[in-house]
Amino acid sequence: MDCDNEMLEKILKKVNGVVKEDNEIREFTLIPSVGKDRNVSPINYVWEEHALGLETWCAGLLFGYAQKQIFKWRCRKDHDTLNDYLVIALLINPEVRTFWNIKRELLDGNLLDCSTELRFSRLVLSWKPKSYEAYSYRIAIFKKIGHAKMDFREESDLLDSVTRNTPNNYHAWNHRIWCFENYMLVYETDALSRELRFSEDWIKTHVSEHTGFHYRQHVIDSLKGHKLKEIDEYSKLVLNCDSGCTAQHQILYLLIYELHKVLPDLHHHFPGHESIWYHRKYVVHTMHAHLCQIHSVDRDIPQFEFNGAAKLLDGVARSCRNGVRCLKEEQMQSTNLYKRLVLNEREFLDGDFKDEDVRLSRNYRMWLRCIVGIIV
Amino acid sequence: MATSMVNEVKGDDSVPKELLLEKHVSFLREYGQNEDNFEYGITDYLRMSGVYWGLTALDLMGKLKELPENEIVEFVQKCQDPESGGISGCINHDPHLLHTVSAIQVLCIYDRLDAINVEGVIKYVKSLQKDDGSFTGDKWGEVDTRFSFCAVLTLSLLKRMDAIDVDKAVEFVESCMNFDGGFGSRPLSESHAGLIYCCVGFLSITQRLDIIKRDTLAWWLCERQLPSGGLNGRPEKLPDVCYSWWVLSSLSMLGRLHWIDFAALEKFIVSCQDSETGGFSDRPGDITDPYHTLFGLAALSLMGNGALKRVNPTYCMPQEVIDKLELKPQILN
Repeated sequence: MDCDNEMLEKILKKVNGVVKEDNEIREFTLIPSVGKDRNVSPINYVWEEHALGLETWCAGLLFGYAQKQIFKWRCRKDHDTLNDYLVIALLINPEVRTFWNIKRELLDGNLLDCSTELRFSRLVLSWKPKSYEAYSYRIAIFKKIGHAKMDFREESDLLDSVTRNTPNNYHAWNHRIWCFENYMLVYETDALSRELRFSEDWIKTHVSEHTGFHYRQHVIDSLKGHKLKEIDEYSKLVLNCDSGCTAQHQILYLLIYELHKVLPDLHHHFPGHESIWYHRKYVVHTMHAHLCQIHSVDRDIPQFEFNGAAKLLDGVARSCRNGVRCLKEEQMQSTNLYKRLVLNEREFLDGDFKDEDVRLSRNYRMWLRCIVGIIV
Repeated sequence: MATSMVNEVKGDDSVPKELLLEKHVSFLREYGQNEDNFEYGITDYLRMSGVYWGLTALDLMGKLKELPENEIVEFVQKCQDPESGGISGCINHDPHLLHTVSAIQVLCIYDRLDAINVEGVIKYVKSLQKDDGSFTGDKWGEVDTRFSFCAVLTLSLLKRMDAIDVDKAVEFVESCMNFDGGFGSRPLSESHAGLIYCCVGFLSITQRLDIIKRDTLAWWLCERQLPSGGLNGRPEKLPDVCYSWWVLSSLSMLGRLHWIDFAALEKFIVSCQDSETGGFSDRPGDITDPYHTLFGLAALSLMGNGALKRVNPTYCMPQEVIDKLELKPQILN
């Protein structure tokens, strides 16, 4: 096939036709075409699967042609033609900021349909799931239509498929954090509990992906500002009692749950994973920091039994009653929860480690001593 | 099972063991000459950064003259947007802070800042600072710590740090710090070695390394070294030559360079050269590019390789250029 402009226009029209007509289009890819016959159409569209492929032999030519046309058409009035070139160029290379900017200009002028653009950026992500630009564009669309009108089920579905297929996808998880902050926490009542469950399931099935652990850590951190309905369920799981605690301290229950239920399971079933050890660091560091920060007289400080041990926060409560508003390091260390935490880490580190965990446990012990100041 | 070993890379006997400088010079000189190359053809938009990578790498090898200076300076001139003052990655493209900083670095290496409208660049950078101190990469507005770094890097090279609210900018970067001492791309984001370099570099230029939890961060950074000697950018990820630079330069600014095993890292970086084509790749055996070539060479320079010029850890430019500009980014002892 001789690839003159006429031919490129033909391919371009056909691809755009598919993108426009198939409302459920889900997948785009470039198909390597080494030694392929160039006399057959480079477009491979499977309607049943809503999947579109383009042979690489024509992708470079098509991109170069579309780019030239975009710069030629940018200042003209025929927006549909301009957008057809943008669709092709961005499918082939979604990292070109300038092309997304032109789409943003069209969007601002109400010359593009928001739902079509969400579908298009999703199609781009099916092929380049790490495209920073495609996520940015989606956020620009949500800002335009208003966050409240965002279809989170669709967003969640997109993120599930993207994160399943690309491990440790930094931009995708940042996007989920953005959705969590700007949509879930604002418009949903059960966001915290759902994301806690979701992230717990996720880390258990993706133990080497630190990015997923980070997301869970962020959700746990969010408990500082939001009351969790199920906090009693968590406290029952680890303490066999209702928590009856205030929002200020509920994070402690989650951290204890993490330390006594989640982490032991992970360490046991998936030895040698650095991400799990990093999660342990988060849990211990955050508990330690929370204990250091308690500074107000608070009747509601939980005084629970913990694995049959003495009342954990006894020391905290006592010093508060004495009117000490700021717990100094020494006082904090006299609390039962602190002592219990140290004992817990000591017992854990005295366990039997094999292979890579020998090195990781040694590093962890040193980190506890040098960075947190806990000597075990 | 030692599972994390699965993620490791083993160098076999066929990988290079010596630094192949001459190969790298010809690789960089000829890169882009073959315009039929698909990757090259679709990467117009980052040409400006490509020029910075190639030029800096050549300068570190003492071969600045291998590229046509006037042609490059002219290219930079053509990429400046007269309206906003910003510089784009290539002619016809929109200006962006990422390319503006590359352009200014290139012009500083050539000592040719007079070729462009410097006041326009200052106006552009200033226009991208938001009320909370953060910076966007262009007028469309995503915030990222990379852009905070680009902004102060550009302005400090132009000696115009007074154009922005530095205190606010520092406050924003501080808000991106995590419990592990690291930084992500925005508040609440995961720590990432590339973004840590941007934030530490930002604080080095603004003379505010005091806000860093020094040993907590240095600890995290030195745990990036894997048994192969290479460095990764986040836990349980593969080693990559570009992280050699980001982790090493951060540790250098923090005064903790000696926490890394130099011999092992050097062996890893050298094994990422392609002895036929020249250049460095991310990992042994992969395709080489100017980006990994610069960061491989810069990391070797930071470890004191005598065949290369000294590199400045904050600016990723030859130290002699930084000295000539009389810049003194903060470095902890």
